[in-house]
Amino acid sequence: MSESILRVEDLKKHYPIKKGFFNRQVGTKYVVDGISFDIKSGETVALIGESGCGKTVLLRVLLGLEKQTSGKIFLKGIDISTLSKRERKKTYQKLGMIFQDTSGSMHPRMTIEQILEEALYLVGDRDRKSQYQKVTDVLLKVGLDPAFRNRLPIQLSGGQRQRVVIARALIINPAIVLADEPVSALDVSLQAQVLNLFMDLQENENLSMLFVAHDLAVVRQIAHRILIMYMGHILEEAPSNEIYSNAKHPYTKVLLIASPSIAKGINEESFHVGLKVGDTPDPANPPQGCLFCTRCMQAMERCYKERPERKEVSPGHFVCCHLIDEEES
Amino acid sequence: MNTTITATQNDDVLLEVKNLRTYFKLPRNKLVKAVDDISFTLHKGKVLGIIGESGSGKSVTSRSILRIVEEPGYIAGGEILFKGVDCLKLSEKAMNALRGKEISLIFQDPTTSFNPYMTMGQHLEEAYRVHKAASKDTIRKRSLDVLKMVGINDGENVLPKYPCEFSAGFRQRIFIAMAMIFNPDLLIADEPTTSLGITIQAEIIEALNDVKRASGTSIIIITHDFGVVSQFSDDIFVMYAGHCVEFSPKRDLLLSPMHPYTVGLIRSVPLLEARKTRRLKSIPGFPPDMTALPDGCPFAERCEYAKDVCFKERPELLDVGNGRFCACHYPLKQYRTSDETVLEV
Repeated sequence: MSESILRVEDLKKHYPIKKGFFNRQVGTKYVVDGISFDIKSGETVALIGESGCGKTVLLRVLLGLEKQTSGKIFLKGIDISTLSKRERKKTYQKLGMIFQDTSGSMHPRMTIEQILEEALYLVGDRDRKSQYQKVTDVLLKVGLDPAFRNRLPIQLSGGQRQRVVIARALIINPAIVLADEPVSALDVSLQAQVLNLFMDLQENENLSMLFVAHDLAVVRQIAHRILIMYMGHILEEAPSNEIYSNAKHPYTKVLLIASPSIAKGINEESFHVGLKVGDTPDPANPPQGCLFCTRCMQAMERCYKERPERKEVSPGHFVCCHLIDEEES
Repeated sequence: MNTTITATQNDDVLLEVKNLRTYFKLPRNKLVKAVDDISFTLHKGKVLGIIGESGSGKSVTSRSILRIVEEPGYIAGGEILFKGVDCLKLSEKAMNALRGKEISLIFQDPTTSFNPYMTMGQHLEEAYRVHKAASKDTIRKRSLDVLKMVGINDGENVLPKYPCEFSAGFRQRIFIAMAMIFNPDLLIADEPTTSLGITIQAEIIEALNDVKRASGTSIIIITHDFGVVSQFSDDIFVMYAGHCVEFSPKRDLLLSPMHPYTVGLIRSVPLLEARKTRRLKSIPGFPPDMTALPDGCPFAERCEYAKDVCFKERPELLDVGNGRFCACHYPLKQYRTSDETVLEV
């Protein structure tokens, strides 16, 4: 594929833990700890992780709502962190954001038209005439009747609201769309409608997207590449088909086994997680070795001591796991 | 009416719901028929999965069974036979003796269902003392037992801690333990895993499975996730707009669904095993307005097979053989999910 749209290099976001009268820093929460990826034009990359793994913080850093501790973000080849404040503001206008909570992300007393026009206004498009046309176009693009422009968010159903939120992200012609769990709050039939809409947009609009989700079945529909995130790290990165047919990391395998599915039901497979009992470790006190060692059934002595390096097992398929070395030798 | 689902053997039946109707009175004389004329049976030691989209009346059904429907809702009619006794005719006191002791309910949100100022031990103790006076030691022993049942082996460390010290998944486990403290015959789990991650969800379902195996409790699981019901339950009950559309043993329902709505639901689920990505066939349109349900079949407007009758006459839930029930004028007899390579099994 072509040009790189969004590239992230060794991105870190740490939060200090402060305590006591003098607010001394007593520790650090490693929420996002060294993440790198590259999204090409027209590509959809899915970021999979469970709650608390740092997905949302990563998105907030990408959007510029929080400043990274270290690392670089390149948008179309330009390093955002070195830009002046004004220039940075302009670059952020190339990011379209889709939030998870659709009703919470729209002003209840603004009509759909006002909501969409505000997005245009904020990126400096203040020509009323072209705005009208753009709203019509974008509403048609997401499969809504342009007559909806005069409605209030409350007059729409959940699926329609989600379409408006997608329209708002698309109307500014973004270089890339960042979507935070865009379908997880929807019912199955609506979820299918919205997923189909994303597939249409991929085909017709050459949409580039970072799609954050926790459901592997949903992601299978639309992602070209999948990143598996755990405790602020990416444990496995692979083209979509590789993840489902040839997962290497024990955590990815656990996720695949734990995902409920109809076919598993027909074959009478019961749920079996295959995880050590316990919780994800505290991000303020991560294990010294592999991050997943505390819950991994296949953990060896080495896993507790040494953090595995990222290795390429086949073209485009990266894994952080010591088991890979074992297989090779 | 011979549409009620009657059990083959009466000893085997734990819960029988007959023509249950739960309505909500709204201002301006509007009436929402949240649950309208549903019937099902639950056998001992079995798991019944109730599936439906939001607003289809799943939770109201579970609340009706325990008679905890809140105002302005009320149970307008029907029978709920638990071990042969009609719960709707019991006094409030007799009902209270059932709640938590013989029928337990697990809520969706494990965070808000605990009192943040009480330790887990106190929660378990309270759940016990409501029904029975006992010494601290007996209760403690029982508490440790039920915690073991849900896979928590270091119960001694758990009891003195407060809810905020645990993760959501762990709290949900303790909640299941609390519901199991009297070994109830029926456990109703209302979306027990909806707000949890994938691995935690699997762990909770595993814990429910362990509980079922250890104590023979029957479970009603309410969810909107087709994957969860298909892996966990024995029978599936599909609800749409307050009505039962299809009730059938799991395998039959998944392999050859009869009601067009069930077919639509299965088709719109993204599949983990799909060989290549395809467009999902979503159900067109939106669920109906519950205050103004049509006279005919509530699904007719979105149904691709609908004919004139469907818009005029409401189909009844009919026995179609093999323990299967379907409320449709034209049930699909030939449809196989495998035909469309929807599922490659």
